[in-house]
Amino acid sequence: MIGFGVRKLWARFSRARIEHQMEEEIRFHLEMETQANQAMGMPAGDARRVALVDFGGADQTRETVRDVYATFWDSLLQDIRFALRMFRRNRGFTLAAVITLALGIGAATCIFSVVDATLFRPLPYAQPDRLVRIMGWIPDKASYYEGVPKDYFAAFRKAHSFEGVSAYTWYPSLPILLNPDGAENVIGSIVSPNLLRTLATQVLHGRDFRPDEETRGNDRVVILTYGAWQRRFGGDLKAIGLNLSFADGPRTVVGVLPEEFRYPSIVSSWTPEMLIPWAVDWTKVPSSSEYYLLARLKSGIRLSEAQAEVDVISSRNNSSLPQAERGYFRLIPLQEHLVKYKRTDLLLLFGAIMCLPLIGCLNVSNMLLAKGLARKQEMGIRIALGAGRARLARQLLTESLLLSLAGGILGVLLSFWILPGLLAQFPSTLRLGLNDIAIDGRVLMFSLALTIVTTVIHGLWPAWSASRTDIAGVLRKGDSRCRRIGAEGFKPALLIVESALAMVLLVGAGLIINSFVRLGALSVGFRTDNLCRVNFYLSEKHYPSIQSVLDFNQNMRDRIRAIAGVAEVAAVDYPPLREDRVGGSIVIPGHADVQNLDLRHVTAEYFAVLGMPCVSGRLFTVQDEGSAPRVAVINASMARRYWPGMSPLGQTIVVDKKWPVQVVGIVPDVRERSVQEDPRPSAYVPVGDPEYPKLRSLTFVIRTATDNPAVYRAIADQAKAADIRQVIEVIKYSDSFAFRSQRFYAILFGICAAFAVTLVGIGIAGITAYSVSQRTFEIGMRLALGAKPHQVVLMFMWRSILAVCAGLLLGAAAALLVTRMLASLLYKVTPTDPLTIGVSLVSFVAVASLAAYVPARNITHIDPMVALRTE
Amino acid sequence: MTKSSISLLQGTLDLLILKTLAPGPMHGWGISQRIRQVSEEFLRVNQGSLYPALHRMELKGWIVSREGITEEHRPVRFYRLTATGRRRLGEQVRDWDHMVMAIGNVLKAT
Repeated sequence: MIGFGVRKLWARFSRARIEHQMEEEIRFHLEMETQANQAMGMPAGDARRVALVDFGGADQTRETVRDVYATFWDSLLQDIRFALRMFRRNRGFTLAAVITLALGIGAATCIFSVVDATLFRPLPYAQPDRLVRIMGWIPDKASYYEGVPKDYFAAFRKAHSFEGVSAYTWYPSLPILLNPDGAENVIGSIVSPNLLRTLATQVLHGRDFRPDEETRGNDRVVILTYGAWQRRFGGDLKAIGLNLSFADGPRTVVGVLPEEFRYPSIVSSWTPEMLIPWAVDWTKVPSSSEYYLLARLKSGIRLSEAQAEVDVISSRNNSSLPQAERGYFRLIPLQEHLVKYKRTDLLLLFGAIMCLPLIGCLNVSNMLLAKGLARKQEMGIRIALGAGRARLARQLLTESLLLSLAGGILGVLLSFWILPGLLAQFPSTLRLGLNDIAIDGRVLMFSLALTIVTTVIHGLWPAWSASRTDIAGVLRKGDSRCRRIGAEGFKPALLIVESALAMVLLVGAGLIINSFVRLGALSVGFRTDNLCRVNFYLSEKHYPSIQSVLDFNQNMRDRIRAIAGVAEVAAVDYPPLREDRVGGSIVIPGHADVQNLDLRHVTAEYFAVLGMPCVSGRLFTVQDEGSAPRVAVINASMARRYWPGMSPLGQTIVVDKKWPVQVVGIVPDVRERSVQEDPRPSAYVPVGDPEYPKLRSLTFVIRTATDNPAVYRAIADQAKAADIRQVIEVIKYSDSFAFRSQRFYAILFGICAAFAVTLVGIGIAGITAYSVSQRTFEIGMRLALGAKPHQVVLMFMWRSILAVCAGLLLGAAAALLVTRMLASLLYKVTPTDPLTIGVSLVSFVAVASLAAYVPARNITHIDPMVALRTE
Repeated sequence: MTKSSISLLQGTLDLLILKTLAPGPMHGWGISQRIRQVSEEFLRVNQGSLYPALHRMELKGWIVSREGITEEHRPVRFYRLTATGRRRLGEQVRDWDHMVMAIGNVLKAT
């Protein structure tokens, strides 16, 4: 067996010699045979002739001997050469097929790279499945919350199930770096000193944090990320040990992180430049909502065991606490937490995109089948000459493979070109995951696999069909003219499936776009035009006394109001349309439990700035802003919920667990949290409580007369003039609308559906054009026999239109089943919205009719006389 | 081969060739002549089958070929059995005998 292979291989290299030997042998054989014949008495000429006849065809012998030596590669090479010749002869066909496949494979590659980086690839840490989030859990509401009070944190750190528990900020802090030429916000993250150990990451240079750097005083250190190290210090190792001046004091650079390090939070689009140890003041409860907890399970410990231990610890702590303050916690694997809200949407997108290569395959398959009919004669001859049917099928599959490879390569190149543009479209607030999205080895493997699968899908039927050629029928002369009327080669079944798929995509995209349009029409309830905000942070170091804080805030108010072009300015602790935790505790008479409602501390002009009118009672005046809030304004939802049927004015509620305030006014509901979230019951109290920590980081919301960049600059200048160390960013409200992700999905699904419909249209057009060109003779005959041109046109159109309609109905039915999966992406649009389905049906039929009509129109230009003379 | 036996198994042709080469080396024409003679003109090997068969058997290692000289001092290729070929010949003869007996049994049965 091995010898056989070796000998064959050896023979490959001695091709010429073997050919020469064979010639010699054949010549010798013929001579001997001729001699023998002559010896038997035949005349010379006859002797040779008989010898040749007896020999039985020298050429065939040569071919057969060559076949003996033919290796697999030889026949493959032959197939490839033949396929290339076929492509050269039919350039248009080849181009159309390759482009169709390239579109499908390219689109699928792009989206796969996104989905792979986000959902499939493991997180960039060692043994990432051991990392879990510890999240707060409210059993009554079955909802999670962030942040863990310090007693639990301390206890969890001692748990046996965990190798390490770390806290880290989810929203980047903006410590202020004092450069020679001014202050600068750097993006830093405050983390437990053991975070890197929990993530199993080593520093690249320098050292990790030490455990004692958790205490105030020892925490004057930072670790830089690789990017920051390169950008700010040019990658100079001398940066380690350098002192950086921050607004709150100097810090020493002690280490640099490796380039592959990813901060384990994706809440914002910023990546931190440095890590700062969290100096926990264990005497005060840490500002819990800003810290996430992360833990690494010890090897061998299952999640359920760790959860059980966490439950034990919490119940031990809870035993000494009143019901309202008890804490419950759940462990969630980090990967799951990061992708929680995106998994369905991304998988849906991926599923939709994968329909494109599928539709492309069906198109190409149809094209090959139609072409196969034209090649039937060629196939028949080859079979008659001895080619095996398997060999024919292999030949066609080789052609399909070459088409797919060309399409695949072109598609991958396309995806390299498209992907950056696609990622740029991504709303910056929707960071997908920790892994970088790029077309890497894994994605290329996917493209390769997809290419091979497309080969099988589109090549199988044509190859099988060709191998079943009936020789006799094909070789009969004149067959091409008298072909069975209507036999097209292409299969309506494929067209039906294509149309069904495209219809499902069209309906899905239609629903998402519809929902997006509705979102766009949503009114947030307050006027967002010409509205902007700017945020300040007043550190204790530079504003040690509350009075200095109050003075600054008042100062800023006056300065901003004095700017020409500013209509009104107000300050608020949690500005609208930011993803903030605005919950405050409110005690309402008649309700035993403390309510956790939206509570905002605002200055008097807040409602005017946002354009919220007073529904009843009155709004705040400047006099209400004192050192203790005494009044409150509530919104309509809250009034309805807690005082149904009666007026809440005059009622007293207790806010922040200490201030009894009287309800003096009601304002309408606004969507303050996010655009999609329906308004919640909210209360507003005037700002003024000196102990309210948020006084140090108020946001000023400003309504300007027009959208004038000069005014925004003036605001920034005034702020700088008030405090040079402040870092100023004036954010316009039109910039920060929250439903960018819906827009993203709407665009993507829309493009996908448009492509799908286009591909189907191209398929129909190609088929129609081809059959018109193939059946020119028949058309001429019909026209000559008296048929009107438009009748013939209709005849050519109706078959494909019929197939498309069947597919559309099938697709509509499938859509009804499938679109309920889109529910998470839809806003106030039912998955079976009849308007969307109707519009899709009509538009698809229109496109299909056009696609069939345009090529068929040529029929009207056919001169019957010319047509009858063609072959 | 007679025209009606185009479908004669490849293996049978191999067997005939192997057997013909058993006494000693021979060139291609000689092999076909010998088979004709011994079978009394009944089996005429189509050269289109002979040479491919010879090359195939050489690839399989049953025969080897070498340049040689005929009695008339003409250069020609000679084929010779190898040890493997000889073994193969024995096996094939046994198989042939079995088959003949089996077919005979079937034909004799009433």
